[in-house]
Amino acid sequence: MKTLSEIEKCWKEQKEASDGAVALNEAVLSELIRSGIKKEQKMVWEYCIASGFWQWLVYASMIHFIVRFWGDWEFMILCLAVIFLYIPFTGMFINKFRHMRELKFNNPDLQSKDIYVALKTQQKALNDFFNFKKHFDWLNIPVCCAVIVMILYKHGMIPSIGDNLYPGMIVFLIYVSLFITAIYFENRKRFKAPLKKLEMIIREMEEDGSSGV
Amino acid sequence: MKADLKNEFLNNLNQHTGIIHRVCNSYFRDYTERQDVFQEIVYQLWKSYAAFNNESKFSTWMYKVALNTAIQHIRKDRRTIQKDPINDLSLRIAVVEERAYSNDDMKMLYAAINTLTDVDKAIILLYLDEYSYDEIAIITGITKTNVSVRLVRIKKKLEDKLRNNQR
Repeated sequence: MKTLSEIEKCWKEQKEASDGAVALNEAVLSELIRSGIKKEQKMVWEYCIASGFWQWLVYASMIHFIVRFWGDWEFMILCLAVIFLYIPFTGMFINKFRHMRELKFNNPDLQSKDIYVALKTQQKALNDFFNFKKHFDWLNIPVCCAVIVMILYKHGMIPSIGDNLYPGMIVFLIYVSLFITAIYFENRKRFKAPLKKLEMIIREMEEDGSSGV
Repeated sequence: MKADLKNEFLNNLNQHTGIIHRVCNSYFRDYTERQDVFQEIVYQLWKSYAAFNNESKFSTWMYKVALNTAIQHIRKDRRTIQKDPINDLSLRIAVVEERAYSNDDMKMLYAAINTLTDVDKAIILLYLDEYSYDEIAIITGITKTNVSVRLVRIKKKLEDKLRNNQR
């Protein structure tokens, strides 16, 4: 049986053989940089679409309603009110999103930091954005669902609001639960799982006061 | 200017590409994933190169970037990982991988390292590459005392694992 020290010797031999074994040339490096940029852009775009999906849905629906029901002033003012209510939150959302994106994709200095600091920085940014998103969703979900119910009322798919309030409320609650379920799975995949993994590594590093920070 | 920077970067990088191999082999079992992470690490190194200020050795800085990239990659959803290896580079990586894995002892050692936690993998990798406790502490961000305590535990774990594998 080989001991660890014998295997360490073997490691050293392999180390010498592998250092410099893959000599990259300029053409390969250029191709690699292009491919890296393309991947990053794709990821930023996916993040943008996923994070802002509900907002774009609200804006698109409201604009559609204004055009579709042009002349119905009561309804148009309601749609405009929703848009104006949403604008400051979208501004905040974009700011938070930009901050997280900058940290994730445009922060060459971060990768050069020690592992503990890099992990802590990433965790803080992700956690901040997630907390903000959670609060934002509390506003987002009811508004989106109310918009859907309004569409259904307007298209006569459910009886008029004055005559029958309950069908509208039931539809509203069904949509709220569907949205909550969708957001729950989305948050679990994009925020909760990565945060859990990050926290696990950080906790391990902080065990017995091991972190140097 | 940019061409000079590229050449300087390539010169430095080509002397230490083994670091990227060792990090990839220790953190990822899947061959395609290792290739993907290899490329990701080179890209991150290039992106961060402007921030490299020669305060530390190139290889120490390279280890920081490589380990941070690998640990970050682990957190990615497996389904979202894009596997589009660059052919020429893939072939060269394959040759080195073949060499590393043709040796049974190395195969066994990597299999044993693979079972460690992400932090322990980083520590043992740096130890095997003969970094001092101070350097390991700087790269990982944990204290020197803890590096030594952890190393005792890691070595014990590895020895147990190797013993079991050889039985």
